[in-house]
Amino acid sequence: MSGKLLQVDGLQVRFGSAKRPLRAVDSLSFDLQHGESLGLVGESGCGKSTTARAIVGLAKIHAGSITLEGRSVTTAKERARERMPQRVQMVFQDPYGSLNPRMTAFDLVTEPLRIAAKLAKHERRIEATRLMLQVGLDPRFLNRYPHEFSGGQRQRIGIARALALDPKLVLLDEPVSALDVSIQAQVLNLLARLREERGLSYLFIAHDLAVVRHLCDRVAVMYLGRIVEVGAKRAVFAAPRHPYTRALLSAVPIPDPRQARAQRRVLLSGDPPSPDREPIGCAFATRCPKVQERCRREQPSLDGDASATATGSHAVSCFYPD
Amino acid sequence: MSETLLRVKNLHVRFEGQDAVVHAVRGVDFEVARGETLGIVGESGSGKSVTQMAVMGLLGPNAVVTAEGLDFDGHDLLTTSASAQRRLRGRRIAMIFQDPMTSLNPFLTLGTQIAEVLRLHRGLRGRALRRATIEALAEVQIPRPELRVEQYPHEFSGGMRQRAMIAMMIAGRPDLLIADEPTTALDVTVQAQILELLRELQRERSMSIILITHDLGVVAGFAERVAVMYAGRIVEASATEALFDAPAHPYTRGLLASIPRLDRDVESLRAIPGAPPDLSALLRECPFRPRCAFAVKRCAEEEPGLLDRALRPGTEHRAACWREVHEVAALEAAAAAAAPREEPLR
Repeated sequence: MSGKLLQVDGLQVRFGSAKRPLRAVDSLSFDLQHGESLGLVGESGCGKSTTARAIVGLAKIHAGSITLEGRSVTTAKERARERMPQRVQMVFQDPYGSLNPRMTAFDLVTEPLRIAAKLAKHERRIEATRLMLQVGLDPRFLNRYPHEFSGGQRQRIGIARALALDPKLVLLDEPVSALDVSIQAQVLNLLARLREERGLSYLFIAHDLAVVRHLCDRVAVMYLGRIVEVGAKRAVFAAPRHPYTRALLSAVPIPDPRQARAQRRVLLSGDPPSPDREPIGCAFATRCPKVQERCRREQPSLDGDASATATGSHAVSCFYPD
Repeated sequence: MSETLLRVKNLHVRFEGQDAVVHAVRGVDFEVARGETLGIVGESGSGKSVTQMAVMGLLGPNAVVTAEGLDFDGHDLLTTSASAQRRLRGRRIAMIFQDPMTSLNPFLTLGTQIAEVLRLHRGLRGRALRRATIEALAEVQIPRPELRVEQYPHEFSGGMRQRAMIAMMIAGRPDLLIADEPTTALDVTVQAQILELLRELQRERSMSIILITHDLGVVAGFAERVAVMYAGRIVEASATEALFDAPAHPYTRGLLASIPRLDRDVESLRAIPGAPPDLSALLRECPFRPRCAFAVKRCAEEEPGLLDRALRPGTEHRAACWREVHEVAALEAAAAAAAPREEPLR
C-alpha cells in the first residue's frame, strides 16, 4: 500500500484573457501516496477546488503535469487511455446541486457502472444494493429521487456514486461543509470507515481546519494559488512555520470558552490581493505581520521535506519561517 | 445581572401554508440584559433565526406570531402603534444578516445608504450628514472612508461589505444588535476581524448583542450566555462556561461530541443519529427523544420545559430534559467504553 499514487508538478490553471490572466493555480506541486489522505486547505479563492477540478479534467491545465501511478494523465487523451474515471473520482460540496433531480438514487449510483463498466441492469441492481449498504443507506430507497433525501443522505448518495467504479483515489471537495454539525459527523465517520475498508486515498479539500486535522495524514496550506506550507498534520498543526498558517490556525474559533479567551489571535489586515495581478515577491507580503524588504522583491520557493513528520522541518515557502 | 433590555415570554411562531402548518417556534423564553452578549446556537430549522425575525417584526403575513410578552426597554412590541414600532425596530434594535448583499442596495453607493439611516434616525442634514457618514465607515475600520462612501457594494470585498453593513446598522446607535450568522459566509481570518470589530463596538457603546450561529466555537469565544435551540424550543440555557463545562441536555452533549477539534485529537466523532423532527405536527413528546440514547418512558409522554440544572446554587443553568446531568453523564461514559457505534441505517 505504499508508493506514489498521484504526482502533481508545476500545475498552472488560468482563467480569463491571455493578456490579463487570472492565475487561479500557480506552479503547484505535491504528491500523494497510496492509502494516504492529504488535506488541501486555504480560504476562498486560493485555488484549492480548481486544483481538484484540474486533476479530473474539469478545468483546463495551462502548464504542468499530472501523473497517476507513474503514467501521465495531463491531457484528455491520456486520461481516457489510463481509464482515469475508474481510478479517480470526485465528491462535490453541494449535495443539492451535484445530483440530477430527475434521476433516482438507483440511476445516480449506477450511472458510472452503466457507462464505464457496461454492466447489465440486473448486475447493477446487485451493485447498487451493495453500495447503498456500504454508505449506510437503506437499499429500499433506491427508487427515490434526490429531493426525497435529507442533505446528509444526499451526500451519501454522492459518495456511493463516486465509489461505484471502485476507485483508488477520491477527491473530496468540501464534502461536509453544507451539512449541519450533527450530520457532518455522520458523514466524516463514514468517510473514515470507507477509507479503512477499501484502502482509499483522499485528496480532501476543506476550509475547516478541524475537519482536516481529524481526517487527514498530511496537510497542504494554499494561499493565492500556491502551497505555502505542507507536511504531516501533526507537524503543521503543532508547529506551523508560515506566518499565514499561523494566522489561519489562530483564527479558528475553539469550542471551549477558557481556551478561546487564552487564544492569541494573529489578526491579519485586509484581504488577499487579486490573483489577476502579476505576482512580484511573496503573495502574502501585503498582509504579512513579519514582512521584510526581501519579501516584496523575491518570491520564496517551497523548501523542506513535504512528508516530514517531525515538527519544524516540514516544507514551507517563506524567507523567514518560524 | 444588570437591567433587562429585552424580555421574550412564551413566543410562538407558526407558518400557515395552503395545506400545511409549520410550528417553527414553540414557546421560547429569554432575556437580554443591557450590554450583554447572548449566543443562540442551533442547526438549520431549529427556529433560531425565526425567533429573532419575530422580535424584529420582519416575518411575512403567513407567519402567526403570538407571545405572552415581548418587551423592549419598557415598551411592549406586540401592542405599540406601528409608528412607535418603527422607532424601536430599526433604530433601537438593529439586525445584520449572513449575506450583506441582502441588506445592501446594489444600485446605491454605500454613502447614500448609510446617510439614509443617519437622516432618518438621527435627523442629520447637509455637511453634518456627510461628515457622520464618513465617520460611520471609519468606525468599522474601513480604510480611506472618504473614497469608499462614493463606491457601490460590488466594489467591496466580502469582509468589507459586512463591515459596511455593520456601519449602516449601527449608525442609528441601537441598544440591541441582532447578528444572524454574521460571519458564516466569511473566511476564518476575516471572521476573526469582524468578531473583534463587534466586540470593540460593543465595549464602546455598551450595546447588547444577540449572536445567532451554528458554530459552537464562535459562541465560546464571544457570548456571555448561551441558549441552545432544537425543534423550535430553547433546550438549554446557561452562562457560556457552565454550558461548555457541564452540558446538561443530551442534544448539547451530542453536538459537542460530534465536532472535530483543532486543539486536540478525537478518536472517533460521536455523530447524533437521525434527523430533527417534522414540525408540521404538534409534538407531545420530547422532540429529541427519537435521537436520544438516554430516553425514558416519560420522554415519550410529556415534553419537558426548561428545568433547573444548575450545579451551583444561584447560577442560571436550565435544560429541557427529564434526566439529571449526572445520570446522562454516567450512561454516556458507559456507552463510550463499549465499542464505537456506527450510525444505524435510515
